[in-house]
Amino acid sequence: MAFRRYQAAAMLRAWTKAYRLLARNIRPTALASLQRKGVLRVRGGTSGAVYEISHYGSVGIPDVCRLCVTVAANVPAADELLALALYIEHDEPRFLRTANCIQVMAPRELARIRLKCRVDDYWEYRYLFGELQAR
Amino acid sequence: MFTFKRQRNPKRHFIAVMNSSGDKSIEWSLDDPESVAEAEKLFERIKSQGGAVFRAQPGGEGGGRLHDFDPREDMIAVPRIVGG
Repeated sequence: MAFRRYQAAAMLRAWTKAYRLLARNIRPTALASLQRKGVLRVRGGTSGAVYEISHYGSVGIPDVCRLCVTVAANVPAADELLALALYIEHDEPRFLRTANCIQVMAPRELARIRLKCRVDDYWEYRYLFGELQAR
Repeated sequence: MFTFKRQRNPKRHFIAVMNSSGDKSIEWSLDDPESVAEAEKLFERIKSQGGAVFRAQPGGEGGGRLHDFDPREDMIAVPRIVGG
């Protein structure tokens, strides 16, 4: 029982620290949307596309595509949100390559992304991301 | 109403490394070459493990990815990302 309490306290401390780091390093408007709707809105540094990262780490360009990407370490959710937001803002091409969405990305290729990641391709992309195999 | 802002020493900088306990912050001082060397070693280790280092951006302004260690910057180290 005491150990569980200790674990819970440690988790709470980790969560608080991560949230503080997130709050210090994102725009106030993004923080407000996260608090209100549970969604962090970030603009891609290369394409200018708006990405939405939900509180459980799911990333997508609304009505265009859904990207499946995660941080390869056990970090609190707020850290994961900040990590993905930093990648999207400052290294969007690498982010998209990792997310298996598109191989190469140039500033004018947003149209290509839209073409490649249409909502009708949803199932195909789910398959690519390995979600179907996991079922 | 009073608001207190923590005064930072402009010569002290930090790198916040994300981990399971939130983050671990390592600080160095420009006056102390040993601490700078240690921070640089950490920077290189994070990069060799596939992580990325970004400039800390208070209020979300003026960030960017750092490819080389710059002791005058405050930084956030992010673990490697993978396709889900």
